[in-house]
Amino acid sequence: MASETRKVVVHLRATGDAPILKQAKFKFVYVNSAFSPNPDELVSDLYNNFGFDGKLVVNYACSMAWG
Amino acid sequence: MAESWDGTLSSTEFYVAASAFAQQWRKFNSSLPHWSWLPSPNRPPWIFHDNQVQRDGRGEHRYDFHVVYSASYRVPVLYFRAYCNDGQPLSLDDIEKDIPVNSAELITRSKWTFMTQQEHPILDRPWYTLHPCGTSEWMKLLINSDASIAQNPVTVEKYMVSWFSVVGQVFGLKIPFEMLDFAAT
Repeated sequence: MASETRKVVVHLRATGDAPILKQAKFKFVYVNSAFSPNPDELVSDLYNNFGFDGKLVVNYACSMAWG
Repeated sequence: MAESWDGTLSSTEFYVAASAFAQQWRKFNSSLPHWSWLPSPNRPPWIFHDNQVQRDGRGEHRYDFHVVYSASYRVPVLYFRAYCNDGQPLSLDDIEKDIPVNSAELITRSKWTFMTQQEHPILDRPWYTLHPCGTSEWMKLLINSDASIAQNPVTVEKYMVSWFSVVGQVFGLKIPFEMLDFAAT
């Protein structure tokens, strides 16, 4: 199959006391399916498994997992 | 689990969650060592993961993982030990070289609240552990944000999978996507 470019809208959602998109880097991100993806996971893989309707919902928080 | 849920588990719920996790792991990760219960009379239940092997130019390093329920924090806690093939234990410096860069940085930054050496609660020997003081908070964030829970409130079974998605990252251990697709499992 020829290589195909597809676009996925990543919907970033603030949770806890995180501010809305004031920062570009987050301490703790998790997919809207109750898990935290490995940093090297591909967005396309995440979309194929957990995305819907062209969108992948990713939550972020400012809390640290480990102190 | 209600909206006001605090991110913790009772020891009975831990048993249910960990059994479900071990079963799923066996189904979807059959090539990796399996999790199984180890006997601990009169103690909270705990599970054991057969050792993981990391190989590099310096030879083979083995990692034994135990998950033990903490009655004081009311969450699962990961304990591990690491050693060479000849049984020689690895120092924190050696471990730092085996784990992903993100985790190695955390060792330096959060020296006392991340990876420390403590007495294994059942074996009474020093093992490394990941500090559980933040666990209930991030578990609350992970589980309460899942939109599907309103329709399908069986979160005790999901707990360990969510928990391991964070804890496993420390060692670069991944959960197969099939285990995370809660609607299908």
